[in-house]
Formats: sequence, C-alpha cells, structure tokens
Amino acid sequence: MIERPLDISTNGYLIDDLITQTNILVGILTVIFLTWLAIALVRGSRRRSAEPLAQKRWQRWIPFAFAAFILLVVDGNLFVSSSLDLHRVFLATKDAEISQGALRVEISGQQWAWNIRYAGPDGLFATTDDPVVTGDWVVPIGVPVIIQLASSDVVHALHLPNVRIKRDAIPGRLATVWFTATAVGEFDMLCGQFCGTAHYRMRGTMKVVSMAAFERWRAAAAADSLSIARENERSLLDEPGRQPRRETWPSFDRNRFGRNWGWPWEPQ
Amino acid sequence: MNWRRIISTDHKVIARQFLWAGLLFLSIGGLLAMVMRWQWAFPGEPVPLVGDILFPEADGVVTPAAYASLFTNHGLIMIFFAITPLLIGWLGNFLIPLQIGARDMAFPRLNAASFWLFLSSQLAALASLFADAAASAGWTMYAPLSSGVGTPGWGQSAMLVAIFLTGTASVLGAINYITTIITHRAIGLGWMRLPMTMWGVFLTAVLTVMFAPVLSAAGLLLFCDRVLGSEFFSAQGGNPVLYQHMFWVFGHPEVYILILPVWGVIGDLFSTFSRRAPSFYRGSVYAMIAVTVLSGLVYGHHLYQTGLGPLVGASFELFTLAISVPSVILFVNWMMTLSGGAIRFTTPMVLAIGTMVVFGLGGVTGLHLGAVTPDIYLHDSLWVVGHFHLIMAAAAFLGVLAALTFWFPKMYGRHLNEPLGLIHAISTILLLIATFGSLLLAGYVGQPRRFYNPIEAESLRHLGGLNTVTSMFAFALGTVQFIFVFNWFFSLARGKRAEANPWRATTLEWTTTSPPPSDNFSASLRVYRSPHYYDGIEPRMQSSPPPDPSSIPEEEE
Repeated sequence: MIERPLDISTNGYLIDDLITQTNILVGILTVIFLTWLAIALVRGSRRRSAEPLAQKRWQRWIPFAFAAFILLVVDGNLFVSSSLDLHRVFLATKDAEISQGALRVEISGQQWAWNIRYAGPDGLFATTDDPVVTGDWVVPIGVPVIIQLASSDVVHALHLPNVRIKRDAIPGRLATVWFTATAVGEFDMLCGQFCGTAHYRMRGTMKVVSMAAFERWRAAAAADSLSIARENERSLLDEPGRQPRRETWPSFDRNRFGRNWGWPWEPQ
Repeated sequence: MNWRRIISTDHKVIARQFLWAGLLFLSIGGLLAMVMRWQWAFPGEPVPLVGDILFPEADGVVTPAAYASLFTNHGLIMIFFAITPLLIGWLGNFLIPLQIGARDMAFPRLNAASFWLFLSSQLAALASLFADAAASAGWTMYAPLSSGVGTPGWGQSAMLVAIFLTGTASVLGAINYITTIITHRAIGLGWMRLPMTMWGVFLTAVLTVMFAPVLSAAGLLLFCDRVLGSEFFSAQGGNPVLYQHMFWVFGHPEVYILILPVWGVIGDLFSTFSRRAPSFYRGSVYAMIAVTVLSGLVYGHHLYQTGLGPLVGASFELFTLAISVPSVILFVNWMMTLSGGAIRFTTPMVLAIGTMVVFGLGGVTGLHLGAVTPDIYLHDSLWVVGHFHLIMAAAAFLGVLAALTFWFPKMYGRHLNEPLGLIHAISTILLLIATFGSLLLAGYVGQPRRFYNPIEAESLRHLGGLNTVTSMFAFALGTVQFIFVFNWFFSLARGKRAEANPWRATTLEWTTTSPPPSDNFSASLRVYRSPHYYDGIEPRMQSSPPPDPSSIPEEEE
C-alpha cells in the first residue's frame, strides 16, 4: 500500500529517484535533529542553571555547517537533477517528435471530460478521417507519444499518473508533453487542477497496446469517423491550409471541434 | 455596558477584539474541516450531528457542489479570518507597545478603524456562505473557474469584497505596527535589543504592506470580470495565468506573513524557559530578514505546471531552494539555545517545542515541491496539503497557542490551568503530526487533492483505509481542542490570580501589572540590555539598571 503508482514510462524514474534521494537526505536530517532535541530536553530538564552560550569557537560554525549541507547537498542535488532532467528529457519534445514512430495526439479538456484526437490515415489533423474519442484512448507501446494539450473552458490539468505526466491545460494556450510507455495495460487519466464540481470524475482510461493492435484500432476508428461524416454529408473538419491559432473559442462548440487545437502537424 | 470601551482605541482592547473575532472564525473553519474529513472518510454518507442543518436538501449528505464550497471557505476562513487576526491582529496589537515600552500604538484611532474594517470583512465572508452558491473555486480562486461563468452568483463576489476589505484592514494595521516599532521604542531599546517577537511582527508588517495590496488588486480585477463584464482573466481577451501570477505574488509572502511572528515567539519562549540568551541572536534576525526579502522572489513555484519557460522556472527554483538556508539557520539557533539550557516544561514551552518540530517536518517536505521535476508528481496531491498544513495549521496554530498561553496571565491577570494545558498541548502536537503526516503519506502514494470522492477512480480505491484513518486523527484533534476551550473560559472566571512576572521573564511587558493599566507603564522606561539576560536562573529585566551606574554608556537615541 505504501507505494507510488506503477510507473510504466521510460523517464518517470528520474522524478521518482529524485524524490527518493531527497527523502533519504531529509530523513537523515530529521533523525539527527530529533535525537539532538531529545538529548537536549532530557539534559535540560535536569540542569539547575543554564550553561553559557557557544563556549567553544567551533560551535559557532554549527548553523553554517547545517546550512551548507542543505544548500549544497540537498538543494544542490534537487536543482542540478531537476534542471538537467528538464532540459534533456521532459522539455525535449523536439527530440521525441523526430523519433521513429512517434505518435502525435491532441487532447482538449472541458468541464468535465477529456477529448482526444488523432490524425487519421492521411496524417493530417482537422480532417474528416480523424479518430476522435472521449475519455478512453489507445496508445502504442515503445514509441514517444507527444501530446498537444488544450482546454476549452477553465484551467484543467492532464494527469497521467502511471507515466508521470502532469501539466496544466489552460484555455487560450497550448502545452506539449510527451512520454514513452514500456508496458501494456489500462491506466488512469485524471484531472490535476480543480475545475469545478465534477473535477473528481473528469477521468478516462489510457490503454497501452502493441503497435499492431494500435494500428488496427486507429484504422477502425478512422473508418468510423469517415462514415459518420459521409452520413452527415458535410466535412466541417476539412480545413486545408489552416494556420496555427493561439486563441480558442469561449466554450466547447460541437460543430467547430477543429478550432480547439492549434498548430499544423507535418504529415507522418 | 460601557459603549465607549467597545470602540476603544486602547491597543489592549483592540487586541482582545481581534482575539475573539479570530477564535470565533477558527471554530467555524475547524467545523468545515471536520465535515470535509467526514466526506473523505465516508464518501456519500450523511454527516452526523450537523448534516441536516448544513445540507437539508441533500438529506445531510455533502454534495459535490457543497464539497467545493467546504474546502474553499475552509481555506479562506482559516487564512484570512482566523490565523491573521490571531497571529497578527491580536499578538501584534497586544504586545508591540508593551514590549517596546510605549503607552499605545502610534496611531490609536487608525488601529480601531483597522479592527472595525476587519470585522466588516468577516461579516461579508459570513454572508457569502449563505448565498445559493458560496465561493467554491478553491481558496486560490483561479480564473476562469472563479469568473462569473465558472462560479455564478453573488457568493463568490461577496467573498471577493471580504478579501478586499480584509486586505485593506491588514495594510492599515501594518502601517501602524511599522511606525510604532520604529518611532516608539523606549530609550536604550536599539534594534538589536528587540525581543524576537517584535522582529517577527515587524517583518510580517513589512511584507503585509508590500504584498496585501497585490491581493486586493487581483481580487478587484476578478470582481470587475464577474460584475462589470471585463475580461482581465478570460481566455479570449485576457490571460488566466495573469491571475495566478498576481495571486501568488501575494500568496507566497502571505505564508511567511503567517509564520514570521511564530518564529519570533519560539525564540523568546525558548530563551525564557531555558534561562538562556538566544544563541546567535544576530544570525536569527538576519535570517528572518533574508526570508522576508526572498519571499517575494519565489512565488513562481506555484506555477511550475502552467508551462513556464525553463529559465523562468529555474530562477524561481533557485530562490525557492535558497530560502531554506535562512530557515535552517533559525532552526539550528533554536536548537543551540535549548542545548545547555535549564529547561522548564511549562505549557507555553511544550507548545513552542512542538511548534518547532512540526515546522521542521513541514519545512523539509517543501523542498520536494520547490524543485520542478518532483513537483510534476507531487503537484495537486495531498503531499502539498500535508506540507502547508504542517506549516500553517500545525506550526502557526501551535505558535498562536504558545503565545496565548504565555501572555494570558499578562492579558487577564489570571493563570490558565497548567495540567489541562499540558494535556491539551501534548495531545494536540501528536495529533497534528499524525493527521498531517497521514496526508503527506497519502499524497506520496498518489492521492490527488480537492476530490469530492477521493477514491472514485479504481486505482485509488486502496487508499480508502488511509483516508479514513486520517479522518479519525482529525476528529480526535478537533475534539481535544475542547480541553483548551474549557480551560480558557474556566480560567477567565476562576483562574488563579497572576502577578506581574509569573514566568520570571525579562522583557518589558513583565515589568508592569497583570493586566497592565491603561497607559501600560507607571513610569517611562529605559532599556539597559538585550532581552533574555539571566544570572543563573535569575532574570535580569531589560529595564533594570546595572548595579554600577557609571557603566551605563552615553547612548544616543
């Protein structure tokens, strides 16, 4: 029970390990201080009169010694590791995007659901063959999944605990996060920023499958999208030559689904 | 009934007015917390005792909308309408003139105005609870959720009015505190002879003057968005993240506003009850000043997940981690004051020791949150809630209790009951650690915060037991406070009479009667030494002349 959620990402260990290291270091400090306190209180309760302050010169350095330990060891480890990991990994979405087989996904949050859109077989977003799903989505194992994140109303946050993803989805802004899954299964998608009464059940399921299973699923979902569009005899989602947008519409608009996301992706 | 006394300008009366106002809202905020913890322990079950009164249409069950209002108002009430009037309104007002040897504050009428403005803010906050939809966007009130579309109705707007009024009251009070401490110190009371409590209150007032107006500005702009149709924080014409920046520019210094006086009180109480001068007094003062300066430079760590650029994030991270250094120096100085002292375990001393311990635990858990990548995992989890509750609900609360029990005899001329005080102190300290330690653990294993049903997701179901245990600790914690309430009222009526200096302390307030006369001191004082000078265990009052009169240097004042 006393365990963090299962981590099935290639990079989550960077976060987990840094937390563990910090726990160990502050745990050591806590033990030192509590022991010191206990001894001081027991001895102090027996003393009739206080001892003079800082009798020996070296004792004057004690506060600075602890300060140096916290600053250089604990804070230093945190700052250096966090900065390097951000630069090399978590913010390195460009490197992820050019990886072999990387998958781009657009996710838009609303009160109180997650909408997920993939490029269809044509490789372009905002075209009629895009699979669009709500809540339950599918990704392939072993390749980077790059998410473009948006919101149509209030501030939400995409929270995928099992791949250590958490990022605010802010209306009017786009965010990019990425991960690579290392195990198949079904995993939680939650909202990580209070967004109203049903925040607690703004949920979904991320299913990780083999690449082959993913391709089959995507082809079937794309065929669904196409057939729905043909039934409606409209292709509202076709907007060739669409320019990147930074603004979003005030509220979720079914018919203008395509406008809630931003930039053009290169064809895959 | 003496009506003149109700609108008195005497700082001691105003202090007691803040005290009662704060204690009342502390009880209301505590009740809200108990209801929240019920929902977390038994999601969907009717709340016993108060459920039918609070939620009649829902048959006593907390609904998702009610839950949002509960945690929102719990936070707002505790921070603005409970801890602030107790730790700053009461403590500062009562002690500043007494500890610096003055007759009253520099601006007595402004002082009274500050209280009545504060009271009106409390009334506005109370009124907002009775709206159809009370404030329910979290105490942080992020836009656009807190806009007129996200949270419609007059409840949220009334709360914004309350926040504006309370910010103004705080600023007026802070101006008074700063001016009084600068200009009204007794002859011989140089800056480096001030009791640590005075340093704490002074630096708190400086931060209040600088940053409370920013909160008022953010609240005012949000109010305009709600009521006038402006778009400062909307996604189309404005910028929701601007709200977050404005809020946290205030919000981070605010948490230091709520802890600096506590640091001061710990320092003074440790010295008094170890019969020892503070170890490295100068270092502690400079550490508190350093924290004050740095506090405005760290706020961006609340925005790590909004997509800050890496340089911005790293800059905030640097200062956030660095602010741990002065805190450590303060902490070690306290420890070095204790080691070698002749310790008396009075109720205030036990509370002060507990304050230091919970502050240490809370402080170290902030380090994880201060770095960007661990925060990816810990943001919006119960780790954050455990961290800030240890610092605020535990350390600040225990600090208030330590101050109340220490200065109760001076205020009322009576003693609180010591055995009851010790029982309350020890059980409160242990239950605070148990309750908020459990929150830390739950957050560490992935429990998100602000969830109406915390275990609705299957992957979280196994945490139900931990959540229930946490609630049991919280209920016990709430129950134990009745010991203090009983002790308080009983002692007001029948406590043993207190003399001028029952704790044998050295600072100036202990040279006058308990309670002090209306102009505080029978003669004007002169200060000859630092606070906490002891000869063996005998106190040397700050204002008692040295045996050899020719050794008094010619001092400029």
